[in-house]
This record gives sequence, C-alpha cells and structure tokens, in this order.
Amino acid sequence: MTAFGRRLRLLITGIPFAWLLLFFLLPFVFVVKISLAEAQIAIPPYTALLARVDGHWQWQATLENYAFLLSDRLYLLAYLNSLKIAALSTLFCLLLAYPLAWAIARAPQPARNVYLLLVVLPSWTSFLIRVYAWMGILGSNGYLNRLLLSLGLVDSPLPLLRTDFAVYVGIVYTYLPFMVLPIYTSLVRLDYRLVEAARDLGAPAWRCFASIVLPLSRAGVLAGCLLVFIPATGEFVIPELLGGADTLMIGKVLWQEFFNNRDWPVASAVAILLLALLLLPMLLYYRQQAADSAPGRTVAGG
Amino acid sequence: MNGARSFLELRGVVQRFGEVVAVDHVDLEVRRGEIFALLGSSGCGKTSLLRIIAGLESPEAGRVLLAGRDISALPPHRRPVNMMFQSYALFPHMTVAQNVAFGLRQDRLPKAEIAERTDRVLELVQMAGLRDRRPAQLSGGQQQRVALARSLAKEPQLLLLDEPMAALDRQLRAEMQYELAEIIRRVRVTCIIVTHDQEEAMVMADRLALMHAGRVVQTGPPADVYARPNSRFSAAFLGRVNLFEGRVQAVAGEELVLDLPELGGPVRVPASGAVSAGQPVCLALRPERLRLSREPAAEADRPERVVVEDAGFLGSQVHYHLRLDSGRLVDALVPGSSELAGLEHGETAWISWAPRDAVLLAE
Repeated sequence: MTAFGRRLRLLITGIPFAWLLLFFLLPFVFVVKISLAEAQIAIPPYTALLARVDGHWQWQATLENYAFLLSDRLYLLAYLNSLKIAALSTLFCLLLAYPLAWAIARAPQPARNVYLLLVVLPSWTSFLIRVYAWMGILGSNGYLNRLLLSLGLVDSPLPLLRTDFAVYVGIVYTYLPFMVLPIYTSLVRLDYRLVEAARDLGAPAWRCFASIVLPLSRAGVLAGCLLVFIPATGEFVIPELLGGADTLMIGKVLWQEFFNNRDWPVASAVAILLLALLLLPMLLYYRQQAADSAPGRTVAGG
Repeated sequence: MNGARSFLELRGVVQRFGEVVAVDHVDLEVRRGEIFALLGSSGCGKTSLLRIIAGLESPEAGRVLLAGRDISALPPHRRPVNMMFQSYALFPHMTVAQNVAFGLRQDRLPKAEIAERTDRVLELVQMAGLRDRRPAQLSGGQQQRVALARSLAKEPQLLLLDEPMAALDRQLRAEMQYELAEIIRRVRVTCIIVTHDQEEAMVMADRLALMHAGRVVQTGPPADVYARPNSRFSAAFLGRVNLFEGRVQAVAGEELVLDLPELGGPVRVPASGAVSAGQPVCLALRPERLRLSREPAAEADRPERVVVEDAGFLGSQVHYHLRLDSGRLVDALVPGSSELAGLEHGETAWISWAPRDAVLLAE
C-alpha cells in the first residue's frame, strides 16, 4: 500500500473514531467524574475531584454515591423493576414481531414493501405525540373504555392509564418496529427451499420452524431483542406519561435525581450502574456473534 | 392401467400459475426400480411435476398414485418420497452428519439406529470422512454427495432429483452422472430425475419423458426416442437432426414417395403409420446417419451432391456443414479417424442414407 493510501485509510477510519471519542467517550468520562464527586449547592452542583486544601492538591474522589445506591432498596428495586419491564416487553415484542416479520418476508414483492412501510410509518410522527395518543386511548374517558362501556362489557371505566399495563403497552408499541425489522431481514434472506427440504424429510410444520427457521433467524432475533431491551430498560418518557406513581423505573429515578433533587453525582452513579448492567447482554451478544463467525461456520474457500 | 409394472402413476395432472398452465393434463407411468428422466427446456413444467409428486405443490386436478395408493392428499412429510433439491438446500447450521440424520430424527428412530444408518449412507457416497464439516466448508461435488445421502437416508420408495448437476462445473458433471446413476442402481430405489440436459437424461435414465409446454411429448428408452422421434420437437430436442419439409406424393405399396423440395427429386421411404397422399410430412435424418463419400454412391441410394461449407473438428468426430444443390445446409458427422475427416471448404462430396435411417414425421 502506498503512503498516500495509508494516510487516506487513516483519515477515513479516523473520522468516525474521532466522532465517537468526542461525543461518546468524552461525555462518558465526564459522567464518571461527576459520579465520583459529592453534591454541593453551587454551580456546578458537585465538588471538584482535585481540590486545593491547605495549599496542597488533594484527590477527593469518592465511591460514596455507589455505596449509597447499593444500600438504598429503592434503587435496587428500580433497577430490578426496569429489567423486569424491559424483559417482559422484549418478550411481548418478540411474540408479536416474529409472525409479523414472517408474514411480511413471505409476502409477494410489491405488497412486501408496503407492509414494511406500514411498520415504520408510525415513527414518522413524533414519539411524544404517539405516547400522548395512547393516553387518549387508555384514559378512563378514553376510546378503549368508551368502547368497553358501550359494548356493555364493563360497568365502570377500567383503570388502564397510570398502570404498569399502560407502560407495557407503550413500550411494546413503541419498540415493535425495532424487533420486526431485524427479524424480517434474517427471514427474508432465509432460503425457503430449506423449509421445503425439511418438510420433504418428514418434519411437520412446527418442527420445521423449531429446527430450521428459528435457528437460522437467531441473529435477527438477538439483534431485535437487544434493540428493544436496552432502550426499554432506561426508558423515561413512557413510564412518566403512561405509568402510575408507583411504576418504578430507573429512567424515572435518574430524572428525579437530576432535576428534582439536583443531586448530579448520585444521578451520574445511577447512569453508570445502568450502563454497566446493560453491558452484560451486549457482551453476550458479541460473544454469540463471534462464535457464529468463527471457523466452522464461515464460508470456506475450495 | 399398466398393472403391476407401473409403480408411480400420474393421472390427468393439471397445474396452473395464474394464466400460465405449467402442467397440462399429464399422464405418466414410472416402473419400479427404474431411473426415469423428465426432460425439457426451462418452463416446460418438469419441475412443477416433480414438486407435485413430492407434495410441495398440490395440483389443480389429477391424481398421484404410488404403488397403487393414492397419495394426492398427503402432505410432503407423510409421503415415502424424498427429494434432492436443485443446489441441494443443505441446512447451513448443521454438520454433514446432522443433515443426513435429519430425516431419520423426524421418524423418532432409536439413537443407535440413526447413527448406524447415517454412517452407512455416508459411506455409500464416500463422505464419512467429512461428517463433521458444515455445508459451507464443502466443495460443490461434496455438497451434492451429502444431498444425495440425505435424500437416501430414509430409504424412500421414490427418489426425486431436481436438476442434480446444475450446480456443478462441466467436467465434474460428466463424472457424477455415471457415479450418481451407479449409486442409485446399487440401492435399487425408483428415481425420477428432472433435467434440461439431454445428455444427462440419456446417460442416466432407463426411460425418459420429453416435455414441452406442460405436456409429455414422448416417452420411452433414450435410444428409442432418439432413433424414433414421434415429432419434430422430439427429433430436434434430443440430439442434432436434419429436417426436410415436404408432402407425400404417392403411396406405393410398402413404400411412400415423398416430394421434398430441398432434396432433388422424389424420395422413397418405407411406409409407416397412416399417411395418405398429399399429406404434409417431414423427413428427419440424424447427422451421423448420413453417409459421406468423395464419389457418388450407387444410384439406388439416391446420392445427393454437396459442397463443404465448413468443418468443425470435435476430436472423436468431425462436424460438417454441407450445402445441397437446393442451397439448403445439412449437418453431417463423421468419425475423426475416417479418411473423410479431412474435407475442406469448397470441396465437392456426396451424401446418401439408408432408407431405414430416415424417420418420417407426420406432425
């Protein structure tokens, strides 16, 4: 490779690298720094890590915020509840998205593009407006309750809004396209003759699915689950608008620490712990990906 | 019905895709233990027919009988029929052995029996050494062996091969034709092979059905169909042929006198079938059946003078384009070892043929 080629390559790979450094790693370092400080009523509302005490520079980092998070059951419960809501929402998304993705992938070509468009179409309007729309649907005087009342199925409006149920509905609704699209991508690439071959070899339909279709679309399922699970865990807007006062989610806690308590160091510690928590499924995913592309699964030449 | 001899029987099978009639009232009989080829160009309906037999498509009309039993209503996984798919459709996430064992696992056989039968069939196709590889790590020829092993593992009553050689390169194709046929004969399975390659059909099949536009044009052993085509289509599809259009001038006892404008003068051939004077007919002459000579043959053989237009040396044979006095070009093949192999452009020669080598086509 020529010197020019080397320099060009450095430039091309360098730009996204610099971007990540500047807009991801640097803010992250700031958050870590704040999480190690103490809150104070000042601007900024936290102590410096290096302070001059009695004419000496003194290191003032502390892990107290983390210790506080672990000692207070509220935070632990908020983390656990967030993981639970995210995990269940991911499961519901998967159960809805898989048949949907299959139907789209097996649809004839012109219709297929229309269906795909319909999946992503809602995200062309503001996310906030769509969540408000759900308030209009689920409220005690909302469309759903009015329908149930007029059908005589209930005597008084059901308390739907401001419940965990509404949070699930909101999250599943919002994140469904992120589950449908990766699964669709892996299903549309699936060679349908493999299904026919399995049928021909004596597999009934459900075994074709379990032993051929599902394993071969695993990459899409995993990607979809991560795309739903990770943002759902830290979700703030949906539990805030649709959830009740007792809906405990870590995103809400984070918001309250920052804006209500103005305790930036604790809020930062909450964020860092959340990140650490979400790193785990990410790492599992990457290990899986590495295993999938390890020798023995790749297309070998010759 | 052809009694005990027919093993697979198709009766009045029709399949349409929208406006297109893919299979048009096909009746077919395949005998037990034979290799039967469905031969035709792409879009002739041969693959649709194969998929109907496998149960992957349900025909609009007609019935499929296997060993006397109507299997038309059975779903594919209930039919004692296995198919080797075009480009094989091996499961990419399974090893060679897992691919082969897949069908046996569906039958819930004991583990030991699955292992034993998997080994046996891998041995048969000489793939036992690569049993733990994945399909992507195999060459095209190896993939084909695995696909064959997978479709033989369940010991089906009927084996279907969909364009088995299409994914192989030319040289391997010629080798595998013989090997595949040998393996199939060794396990004594009745086999239907779909192909567009006439050579493949002729090498591998005991009998073949030539298909065109959703219909079966002619059925029979390859040598018979080649020697006695029943139509212009059959004659032209299977090998090279020279066709001369004309009409019947007169019926003279055991002989017909034909008027073929492209050949000078009347041509006499043995009478065959019901033809009457004035009827338009076509005379088919295989290029290798033309006798080429430097001097005119005896007058009784009706020699025709030709001028060599060009010559193609094919190794074992020389392929001539010869121009008749009428201006019509004819194909002729002579052995490469013959003293007539060296004719050059512009040279004059003579052709003649034995009357029994000419085939009269009424359609």
